[in-house]
Amino acid sequence: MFELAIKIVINGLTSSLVYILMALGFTLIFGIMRVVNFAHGELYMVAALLVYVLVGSWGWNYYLVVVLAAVGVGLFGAVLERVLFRPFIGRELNGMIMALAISITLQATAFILFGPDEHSVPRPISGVIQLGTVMVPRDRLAVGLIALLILGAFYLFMRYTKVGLAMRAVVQDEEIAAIHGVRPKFIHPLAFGLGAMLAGFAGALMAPIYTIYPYMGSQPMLKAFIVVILGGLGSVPGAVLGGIVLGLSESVFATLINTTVATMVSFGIVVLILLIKPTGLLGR
Amino acid sequence: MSEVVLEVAGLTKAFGGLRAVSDLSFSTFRGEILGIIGPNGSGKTTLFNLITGVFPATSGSVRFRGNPMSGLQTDAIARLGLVRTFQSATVFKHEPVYENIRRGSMFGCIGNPAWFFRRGRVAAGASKARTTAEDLLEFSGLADVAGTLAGNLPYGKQKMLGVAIALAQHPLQLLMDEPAAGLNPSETEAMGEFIAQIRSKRGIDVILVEHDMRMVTSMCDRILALNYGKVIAIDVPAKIVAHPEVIEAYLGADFE
Amino acid sequence: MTPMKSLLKFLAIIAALAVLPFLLRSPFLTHIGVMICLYTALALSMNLMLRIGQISFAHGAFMGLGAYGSALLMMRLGLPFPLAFFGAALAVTLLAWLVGLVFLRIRGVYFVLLTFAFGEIIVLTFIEWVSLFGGSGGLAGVPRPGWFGHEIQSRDGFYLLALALAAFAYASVHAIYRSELGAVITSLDENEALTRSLGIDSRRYRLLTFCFSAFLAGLSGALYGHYLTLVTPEDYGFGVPVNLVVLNVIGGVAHPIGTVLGALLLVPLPEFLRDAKQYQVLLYGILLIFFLLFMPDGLYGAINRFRRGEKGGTQ
Repeated sequence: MFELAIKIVINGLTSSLVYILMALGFTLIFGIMRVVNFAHGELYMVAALLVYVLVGSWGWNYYLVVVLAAVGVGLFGAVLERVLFRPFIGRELNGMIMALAISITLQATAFILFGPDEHSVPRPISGVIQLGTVMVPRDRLAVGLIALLILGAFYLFMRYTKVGLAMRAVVQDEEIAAIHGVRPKFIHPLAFGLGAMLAGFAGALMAPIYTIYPYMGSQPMLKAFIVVILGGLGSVPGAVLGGIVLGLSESVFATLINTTVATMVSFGIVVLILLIKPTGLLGR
Repeated sequence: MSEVVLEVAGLTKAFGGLRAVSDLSFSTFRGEILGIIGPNGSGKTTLFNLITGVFPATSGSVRFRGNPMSGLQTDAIARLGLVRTFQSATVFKHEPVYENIRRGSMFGCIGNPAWFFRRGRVAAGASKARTTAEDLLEFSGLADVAGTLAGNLPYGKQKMLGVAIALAQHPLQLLMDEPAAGLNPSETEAMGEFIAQIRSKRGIDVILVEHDMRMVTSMCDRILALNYGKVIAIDVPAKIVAHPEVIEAYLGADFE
Repeated sequence: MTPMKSLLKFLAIIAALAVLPFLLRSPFLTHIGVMICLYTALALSMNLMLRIGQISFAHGAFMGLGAYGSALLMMRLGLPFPLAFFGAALAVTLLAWLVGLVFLRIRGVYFVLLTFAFGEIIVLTFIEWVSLFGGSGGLAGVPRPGWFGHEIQSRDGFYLLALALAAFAYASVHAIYRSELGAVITSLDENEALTRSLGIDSRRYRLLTFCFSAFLAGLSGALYGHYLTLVTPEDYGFGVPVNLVVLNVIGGVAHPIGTVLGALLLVPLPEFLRDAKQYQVLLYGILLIFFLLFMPDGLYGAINRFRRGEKGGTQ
């Protein structure tokens, strides 16, 4: 019984960390640009595909590729903002439709280039670690640790750099931030790029753990969406809290009943939150 | 003794710890134009929103012609005969002037979608809307621009149109939010004359929330002065401008 | 054009469309005709929501509930087709009313997300509640439509049914937009504060629009289920409302004929590109991006501008 609980908690926490990465990117993009980035899952997928090509086919070093893929996806995100999202500032619904369009375009492109089949990437680390009587796969642990590192770096960036501060100011109140000299034309692509990079990290880290296929971004996107609603659209600490809550809740329901029910419960919580407190647990 | 139209009693609105208005009480009488003045932050806007049902009061009551209005939505209040205008010109920009006014009348008849099914109601409403629109085009001096898209009108005329749209509902009392805001002196004068005619020719009572002191003192029968969410004084203009507390409240603020 | 003349013109067009399969004698084209008609009705239901400035991602679920509902009412309760068909659609409308009472208090992006979550829950219910909905396999052997002992077996017969639905959807939406109801709906989107200050109960009107929209989606879903004789959960997920939005944006939201144009242009594509479905999706995506950026009024808007230009720029 205790083992089951530990298993639930560990699974929950390692999923949480990746959800948090996705959610942070998603919430950053929404908080700063008020865009619901329906293409966020596809950014995750693009990074995973990059890992597949560069590591799986060309044999590059996995950890190097993780960084390259994340940065590459980040740059891609900044370009997307500049070219496709900028015309829709202030028109939230149209911006959302544009994100949808990008999402289906990326999915279809991936399908055409790589086919519908699932591909896999060799695991960089294998084996398990024994914590007491519980077996924890080493690669999941590694993913969790790296994710923690990235989260830590992100936190430091947002807290202590000028750009990070500027971004937080914009999330709080764009007008006041503008008065203090924060220029949206500069912040928006940066925010989108940063958010995309986080999704890229998530995708690259998860690439060896799960299989890679064109629609692999849908699930993480959904999770990110749920986490962000839970925690509050635009709230960075909310994304963290939401990620933990979702990871644990899903782990409980998935282990005790099944994953479908777990997802239904998650969406049910979303509906409740949107109805009662749309700004989420920690949002304003 | 004139009958009471709008009766505000002990009205209080608190946002968290902040009391935007405290224990406001006053009444308006049939046939009068009441002005509401106060510096920024005095609670004018909150009072306006409370009367028009934008949000509920923390305590106290508002009665319109004896009907309690707490908990009513803005559209229900409009249907009762208390109609508001907007501080910034609010019109249907993509429709011609005629259609704007016509909608003002027509929409009042079909406020509740269930009324579509009442026999003849829509037809009667449509015919009344047409007559109302023609009449008000003349009355508001907009007949020459009847076919122009509202968005293409100069700002002053857009504000007049906003008032005409409100009048199209045949209100009993008009609640005007800074009618002079954004208008130049000659437009302000035209608006002032228009409001005076609304009372004298149409018998509609008016409450004006305004900053423009010249308009307020020249037009209003009485003025209600607010500060810090409380009533300082309610009296005829001559007494209000000489009132020591009112003068003090305005020291340093706009006093046109 | 007087109302009588428009009505006659409309009926003439419908009559012409009705005889088309008998002239063309191609099962494949008839099939496309059925799909165009069904998607026209669906896209028009979405058009209603877009007119009040809201996107509903619940419409896939409404479609699915109509499909499952009608199939189940016939298969499990033995109801005749007309009862099952309308009964299911009315049940969907009732659900939309209940859901709308709560959801329509919320606006903008949050409303879209709410309907999205709701849609996902419904589809997951289709998968999870195996005893009622048949799980991921869904329901097979859905009976064909029919009444008074006469069953519709042929594709041509189905086409006429679908055409009737599309005609009904078009006529009702068009009539709504031309009426005072339409003026209220567009006013609500253009300036809600002003509209409410004129005495319009905006919540009731939005609810009414949402319910009728769901009704059309339910009818379309029911017919879709009977056409395929198979109702599976994956047909009613998030992809449906996305497609409907694509159809409306590309066709043009401003007039129902734009929606029809969108359906005429885009629905045949997946049928022609059956083996290359992904190319169809890619095309949808690229077209959508293009139209959003450069032709937000859609095809209808472009044609309108062109015609006005031809007339020498009047107005």
